[in-house]
Amino acid sequence: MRKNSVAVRKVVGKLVTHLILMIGLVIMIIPFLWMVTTSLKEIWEVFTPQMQWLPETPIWQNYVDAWNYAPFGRYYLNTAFVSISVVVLQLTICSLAAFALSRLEFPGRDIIFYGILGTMMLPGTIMLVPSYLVLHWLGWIDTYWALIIPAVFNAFGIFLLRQFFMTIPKDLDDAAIIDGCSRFGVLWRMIIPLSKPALAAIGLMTFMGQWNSFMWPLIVTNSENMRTITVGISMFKDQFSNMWTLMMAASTTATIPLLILFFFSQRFFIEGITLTGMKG
Amino acid sequence: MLGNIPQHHCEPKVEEVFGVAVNTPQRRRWSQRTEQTIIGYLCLLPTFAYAAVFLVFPVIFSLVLSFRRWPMFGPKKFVGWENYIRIFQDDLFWLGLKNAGRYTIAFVPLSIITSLFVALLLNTKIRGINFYRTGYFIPTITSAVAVAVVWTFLFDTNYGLVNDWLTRLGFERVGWLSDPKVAMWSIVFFSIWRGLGYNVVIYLAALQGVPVQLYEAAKIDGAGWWAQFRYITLPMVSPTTFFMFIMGIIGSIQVFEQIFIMTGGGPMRSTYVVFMYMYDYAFRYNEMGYAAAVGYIMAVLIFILTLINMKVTGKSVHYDQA
Repeated sequence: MRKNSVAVRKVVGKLVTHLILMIGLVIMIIPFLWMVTTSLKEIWEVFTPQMQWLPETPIWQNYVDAWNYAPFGRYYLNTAFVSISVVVLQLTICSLAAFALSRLEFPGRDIIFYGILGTMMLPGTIMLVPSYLVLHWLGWIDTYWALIIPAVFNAFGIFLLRQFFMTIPKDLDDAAIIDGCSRFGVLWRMIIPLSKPALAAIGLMTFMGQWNSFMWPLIVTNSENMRTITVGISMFKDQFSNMWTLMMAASTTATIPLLILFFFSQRFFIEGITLTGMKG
Repeated sequence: MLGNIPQHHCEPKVEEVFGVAVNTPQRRRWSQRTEQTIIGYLCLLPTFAYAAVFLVFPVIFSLVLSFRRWPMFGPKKFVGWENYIRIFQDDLFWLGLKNAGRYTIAFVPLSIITSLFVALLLNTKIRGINFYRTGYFIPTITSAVAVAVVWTFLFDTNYGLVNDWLTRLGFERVGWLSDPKVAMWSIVFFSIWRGLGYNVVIYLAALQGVPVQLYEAAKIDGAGWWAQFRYITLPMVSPTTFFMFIMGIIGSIQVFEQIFIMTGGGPMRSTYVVFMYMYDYAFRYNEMGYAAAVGYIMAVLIFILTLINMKVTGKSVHYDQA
């Protein structure tokens, strides 16, 4: 009898868990489904009191129209170019710095390390205006430089890579050097290949951050040609404030690359977040 | 071949055997160290260059700027405390601060509670758990701007899906983003929705780090699920909670993007936050000195809040990871 009631309670508990998770999941996912179906509707289907989930016939033309109203192709290329450049440069700079801070011995090393960690405490509110002025003086406003260079440094990335590099036995360095490898050879041929998981996690988080970044591109770009996709969508929304079908088409195109990337590299995303979440 | 062996490997052995450093090749040792120093600083060169231009200079220059009238084009001059005095006398600044405060007070606790709750559910052994985890994570990876646009549409008073469902259930339409009383709550909801996946992953990692023996021991002692949660789970994840609390407050004071997209600070300035105030002065009115002063005030405020948090909340954090 008692055994039975325990089993029943377990089943009920599981059902309740499923139910709550399902309701939550609906809230998490429905906006995306609604985004996609709306992007395929006629505009009058949006402005009707009897809302339907699916369009009568899917209007693929919405995507063509959205891309014609604003140069989303160009936004796409800009975003991809900037994001990839930032990832490559950031990983290079972080790896070099982390290599120096973990494998080499030289005066001032630890002070530099704590200095780099300390920069994480600098509040963004202070940096916004003067960083903009620096770019202005460099003549970089409205260029790719302004979008890329300010993002290539990642203090936390340096910290993570340094911790990761330190788990690789130093004896391997010595062995490699005996075999005639240079210091940079050690980094490039040995440490980097061994650190692929950490590099992938940091790189993915950076890529995601860049692809989605909004405020900085909004501030440092003026011309249509330099806009990234997030700025493009924001401008599009201001211009065509009621063209929901086109806006949803634009949002869908902005969202899909990251979703694809996510489904192929979920593990690294989760790792990246778990790593960055341990900041505290 | 042997001549390439790094000295620091050989050296101790030589001393062990002979008692003194016999025949230590001083020159080689010195060059080893110099080599490492040169390469080390070479590797750090990009970092230094970046830090000088984009970190050290801006911090100092921002302070200088805040005591000057500095339009982008036109004459610049030193004005003493004038910027700060004007800011503190401006009702709009106080409104921005108040609204950012409202957002913070609502968002931080609600976001933490929701994340922990979902993480607890996702930490159970039920079928399809990976499916759920992926689903809850999706909003976090998508562009905040794109999903903010989607939610602006969902929250639309006349043609939004949310009100459509409400009216079907027999409720009145709500001006989710057009009613000054409601708009901030809609923004808070959106922020929780978007940040949930990220926070849940962090909490899951923390939950999985709690030793199972603790629960087993508690069960033997007759502790129910509430007692287990209250006396084991909660203290064991408190460092994570503390981390989220601090980061949440720092981020919330600076909330900007979702508000910029969804309401633009309206309706009737009910979502006008202090970061927007700074943005407007810097990039719409071109008063860089004034905006820099706002930035410094915000930074000091964030710093003080974080210190208070460390002192007050930090005490209740349980760091002993069994």
